Amino acid sequence: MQQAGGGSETEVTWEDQQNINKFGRLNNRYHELEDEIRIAKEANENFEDASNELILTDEEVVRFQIGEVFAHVPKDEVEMRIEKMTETTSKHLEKLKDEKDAVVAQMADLKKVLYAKFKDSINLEED
Amino acid sequence: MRGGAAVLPASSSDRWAVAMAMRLERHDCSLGSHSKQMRYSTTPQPLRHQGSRKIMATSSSSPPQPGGAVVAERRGIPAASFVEDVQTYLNQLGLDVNSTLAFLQERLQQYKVVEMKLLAQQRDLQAKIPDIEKCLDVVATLQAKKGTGEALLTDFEVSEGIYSRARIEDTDSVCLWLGANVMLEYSCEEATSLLQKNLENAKASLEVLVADLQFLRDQVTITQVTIARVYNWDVHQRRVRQASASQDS
Repeated sequence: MQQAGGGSETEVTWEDQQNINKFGRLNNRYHELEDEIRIAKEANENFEDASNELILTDEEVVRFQIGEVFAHVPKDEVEMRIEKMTETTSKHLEKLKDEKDAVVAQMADLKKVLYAKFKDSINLEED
Repeated sequence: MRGGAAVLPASSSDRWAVAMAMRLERHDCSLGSHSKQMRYSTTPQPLRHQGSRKIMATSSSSPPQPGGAVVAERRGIPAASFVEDVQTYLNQLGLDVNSTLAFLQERLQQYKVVEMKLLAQQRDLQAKIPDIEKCLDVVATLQAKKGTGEALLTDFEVSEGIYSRARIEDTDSVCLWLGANVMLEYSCEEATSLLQKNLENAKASLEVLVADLQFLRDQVTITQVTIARVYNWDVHQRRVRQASASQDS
């Protein structure tokens, strides 16, 4: 994000600067959200794999990792726990996606404002 | 380990305090001959940068800031002042374009150094929060087993890749690793509340840290924009001069 060459000087006001700052922040948050969403999705996939494995297994007691140790936990309790964890992660994932949508919308608005003022002497696109 | 207590790292709250004391170090940075030295310090203090104070003063006389005062610094990170007009800014600094650009670049580097430190702290905290959550999970499991009469069977890692089996009978207590080679035995209730407190502290610290980072990034953006503007202004001046020179001849 920088204003490239061109000798023509467009006045930059404090308001513009604040808009640019805001855009920078949003862009940062956008990348954070993408990471978080990816992690949440992976977690959910893992839960799904685990519960599929549980269906296949004959063992009544399985080793369930709590913290650093593997506890011997009855199969149905593990199923319950996984279900609960999936639910929590899914809710979290929804929240993240909503926030991402909001961020994208705000960025689009700011882009309009900033491009309208600075034309091609500002670059708000990712490399 | 029979009837004994499980060992969990508690990540004591003082450790957060130490980590969060924002050791930005004495980052003495010379700002050129026009101003005194400025440094990032652990305690908030007014900016020792006369140049920027002057700029702040003038920029507040023209009313560019909606919502009142501009923050001069945040936890030792000096604010970048917004430049209203490049010509006035250069006059105030008493520097030519090249030294001004060098000064701004230097400032940018300093911001980057601080950003690296803050990011490292952020990664630390982000790793610690799930750790504490795991510990809470274990204590909750122990508590849930208590009173059911059956022992909790676990496989735990003795050494890399080697597991042994532990049978934890009814237990009322766990030992929390407080750091600095200290381990303390707590009742499950106390352990939960301590861990909970640590979790809250960690989350609060993270929140502050994120705000610090945002502030810092704003300053970086302002400085980058200022650099671009000073540069563009210079190019513009040269063109004007060239144009008038060719007209004269």
